[in-house]
Amino acid sequence: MYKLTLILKYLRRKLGPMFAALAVMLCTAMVIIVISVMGGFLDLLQTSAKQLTGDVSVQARSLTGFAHYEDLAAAVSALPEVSAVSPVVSTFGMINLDGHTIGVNIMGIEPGSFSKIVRYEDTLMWSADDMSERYGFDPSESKATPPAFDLRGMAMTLEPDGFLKGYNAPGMVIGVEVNPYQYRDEQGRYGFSNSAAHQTAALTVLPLTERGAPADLGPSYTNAVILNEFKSGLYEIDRGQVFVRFDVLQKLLGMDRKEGPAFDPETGEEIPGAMSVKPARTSEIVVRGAEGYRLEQVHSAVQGAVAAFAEARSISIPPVVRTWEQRHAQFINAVKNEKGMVTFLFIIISVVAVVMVATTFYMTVLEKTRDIGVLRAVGASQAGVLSLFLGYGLAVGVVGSLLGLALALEIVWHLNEIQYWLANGLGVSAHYAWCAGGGALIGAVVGGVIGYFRRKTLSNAVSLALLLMLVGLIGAWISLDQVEDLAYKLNHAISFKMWDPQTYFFDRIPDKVKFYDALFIVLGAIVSSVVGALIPAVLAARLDPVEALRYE
Amino acid sequence: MDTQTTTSNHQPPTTNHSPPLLTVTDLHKHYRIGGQDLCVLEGVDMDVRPGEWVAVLGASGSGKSTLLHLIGGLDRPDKGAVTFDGRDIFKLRGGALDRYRNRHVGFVFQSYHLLPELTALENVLTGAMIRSSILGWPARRGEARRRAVALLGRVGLGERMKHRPSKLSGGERQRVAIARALVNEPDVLLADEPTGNLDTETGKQIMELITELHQQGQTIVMVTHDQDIAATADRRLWLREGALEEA
Ligand SMILES: Nc1ncnc2c1ncn2[C@@H]1O[C@H](COP(=O)(O)OP(=O)(O)OP(=O)(O)O)[C@@H](O)[C@H]1O
Ligand SMILES: [Mg+2]
Repeated sequence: MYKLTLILKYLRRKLGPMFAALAVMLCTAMVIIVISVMGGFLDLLQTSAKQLTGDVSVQARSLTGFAHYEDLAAAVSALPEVSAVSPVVSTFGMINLDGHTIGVNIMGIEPGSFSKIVRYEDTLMWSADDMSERYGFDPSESKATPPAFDLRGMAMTLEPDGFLKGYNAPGMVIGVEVNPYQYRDEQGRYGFSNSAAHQTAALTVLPLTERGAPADLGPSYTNAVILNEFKSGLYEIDRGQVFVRFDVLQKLLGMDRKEGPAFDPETGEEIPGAMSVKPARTSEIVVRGAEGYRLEQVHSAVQGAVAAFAEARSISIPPVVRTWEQRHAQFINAVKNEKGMVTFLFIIISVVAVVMVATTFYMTVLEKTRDIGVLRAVGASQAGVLSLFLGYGLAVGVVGSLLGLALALEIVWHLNEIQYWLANGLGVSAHYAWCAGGGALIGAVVGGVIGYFRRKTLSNAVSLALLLMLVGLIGAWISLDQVEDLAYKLNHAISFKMWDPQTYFFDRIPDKVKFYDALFIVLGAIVSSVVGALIPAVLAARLDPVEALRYE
Repeated sequence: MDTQTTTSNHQPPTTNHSPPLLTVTDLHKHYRIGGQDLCVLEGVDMDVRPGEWVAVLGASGSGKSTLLHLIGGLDRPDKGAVTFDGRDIFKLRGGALDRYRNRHVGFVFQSYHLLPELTALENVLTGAMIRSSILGWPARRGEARRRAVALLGRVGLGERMKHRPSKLSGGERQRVAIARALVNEPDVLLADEPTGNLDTETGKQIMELITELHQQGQTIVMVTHDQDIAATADRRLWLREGALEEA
C-alpha cells in the first residue's frame, strides 16, 4: 500500500520525475504528430494513386491501341469479379490556350462509366455556385439562366451546353495546373476567377496508323471548349492531363471504325462491291473490381478474359493487364520506404524516452537513497522497493503519455490553423510580445533600481514591470491601429512557413489521428518509461539498507 | 546479574525472571576498508527480557549503531546469531526478515529519518501500510489510522498530524519517528541516540516520553554515548573493543 501512497506523493512533489513525465509527454506528442501527418500524407498519396487508374487496367502495348475492344469490354464486364468497365483512349498532344502551347496527356473517356471506376466527378473544381459568386448573381434565380452554368453537369457529359453550343466544338476538362493563369493563394486555394472555363483551346494530336506510322494527313486538330477544371491532388496529373469525350479523341486519332472500298493488293485496283472495314481501336480499358473480391482475384479473372480474347482473335501480342499496385509500383515502394523511416524514428524516440526516464530516475534514486533505507528499516522488502520505482515509472509513463496524447491531438487537430497563424499572424503577435516584454523588462530594471534604494526591490520591480507591460501592450495596439499597413508588413516580414501549400500536392495538412496509432504510441511510451525505470529500480532494490541510511 | 533493585522501582519485578525475548550470541562484524580489516564487533553476547530497558553505551565508532542494525535485522553479521522468539533471524527466509523488521522491531534514529513528502500522520502510517497489501488496505485503514492518531496524540502531536516534517521542530520530528516505530506494536523498540541531535531540554522531553513508554511495558534497546541519559535505563552495557560488558 505504501507504494501507491508514495508514488502519488512523489508524482506531485518531485521535480525530477516531472521532467521525466515532460520528456515522455513531448516524445509521445512528437511521434503522434509525425505519424499522423506523415501517415495522412502516405494514405492520401496511396489513395490518389489507386483512384488514378481504377483497380485493374487492360492496356494496349502500343500507342496505336487494340481493336475489337467492344468485345473484350463486354467479356470482362460479364465477369462476376468485375463491377464496371470503361474504354479510354489516350495520347500525347498539345493544347493551345490563349497563346500558350502546352504538352499534355489527352484522355478520351466516357465520363459516365469512367467516373464509376476512376475518381473523376469529385475532382471537378467548379460548380455553378463558384460562377455566381464570381459574377455576382444567382444563376438559379436569374431568368436568363443558361444551362451552360451547370459546370459540373457539363463536365460529366463532356458536352457543351447552352450558349457554349455556339462554339460548335467538343467539350474539354483540363487539369487545374494546365491552365497557365491558375495559381494557389496563400491558403493553397485556386480561384475561379483565374479558371479557363468557357474559353476555347486548340487541341492537336498525331494520328497513327495501326502499324504506328503517321497517318497520311499529318497532325489533326480541333477546337475544344473548356467546360471545367479538375484537381486530382497529384501535381503531375493536374499539370499534364486533359479529358475529352471518347469518340471525339478516337476520331481525331483515326482510331474509329472505317469502312471504304476494298482494293486488290496485287493490282491496286478497286474491287467493286467489296468493302474493307477497319475496326475501332482503344488504348485501354479500365476495370473496377466487384465488391468482395480481392485485387488479385479481379486481376487474374480479367487476365483470363484477355487471354481468351487474344486466342479467339488470334492476336499475337495481347494487351497487358495490370493492377493499380503494379502500375504504380515505383511510387508505392517509395511510400513504403517512408513508412520504414517513420518506424525507425519511432524506435529512436523510444530510446530517447527510455534514456530520459532512466537518467531522471537514477537521480531520484540517489536523492531518495536515505528514504529507501528508512523504508527497508520499517519493513519494506527488496521486491517492494523494486515495484515502488517500477510503479513510479509506470505512473510517469501514464501521466506523460496521456498528456502527450492530449497535446498531440490539440496540435494535429489545429495544425492547419496553427500553420495559418505562423504564416500570417506571427508578425502582429511578435509585435505585442516585444512591446509588452520590453515594457516589462524596462519596468523590472528601473523598478528594481528604485526599489533597491527604497529597500523594496521586489515589490517595486514587479509593480513597475506590470505597469510598463500594460503600457507596452496599449502602445502596440495603438501603433497597429494608427500606422497604415503595419500589421500587414509585420506579418509579411515575420512569418514562418511550416507548410507551403503552393508547393505541396495537397492544400491542407492531414489533421486526423488514427485511434490505433495513438493507442500503440501511448502504450509504447508507457513501456518505455517502465523500461527506463527498470535499472534505477533494480539499483534501489539492491541498496544495502545500512549504507542507504548512512547516505548523506 | 540483577540490576533491577538499583534502577527501576516502577517496573514489575516479574519481567526480570521471564525468559529472554531477544538473545544475541557471539556476534561478529568486520568491515574491509582499503584492504584493511576493521573488526567492529568481536563476539557480542546479550539478553533482552520482555519489558526491559537496556542502554548500550560506548565511545563514538565503537560499533553501537552496527549492533543495533544487526539486532533489527537490517544488516548481516559475519558470525553469530540474533535469536528472537526461538529462531535465528538471519536464517529466516522468504521475506520473513522483512516481516520481522516490520512487526517485531521499531527503529528510532538519531536524525529522525522521516519521509519528507509525507505528513506526520502518513509517516506514522508507513509501517502499517507496508504491512498491508493494496487490496487489504481499505479494510485495515480505519483501524491503522485510529492507532496512528492515538499514537500522535500520545506523543503530544495531536494538532500537527497534517504537517510535513519540514514544518516540525527536531523534537517534534523525533516524536513522530517514535510514533512511527510503535505503529505495529513492536516487541522491541530500537533507539539509536534518539536525543543525539536535540538540545538538552528537548532531549529531556524525549527521554520522558521513552520512560513513559517503558513504564507501559515497552521493551527498549537504546544506544547512546551519554551516561546521564543511560541512567534512566534498567541496565547499562558498555561496548568496548568489540564486546559488551555490564556497567
Ligand atoms: N559500511 C562501513 N564500511 C566501513 N566501515 C564502517 C561501515 N559502517 C561502519 N563502519 C565503521 O564501523 C565502526 C562502527 O561504526 P558505528 O556506526 O557502529 O559506530 P557508533 O558506535 O554508532 O558511533 P557513533 O557513536 O559515532 O554513532 C566505525 O569505525 C565506522 O567507521
Ligand atoms: Mg551510531
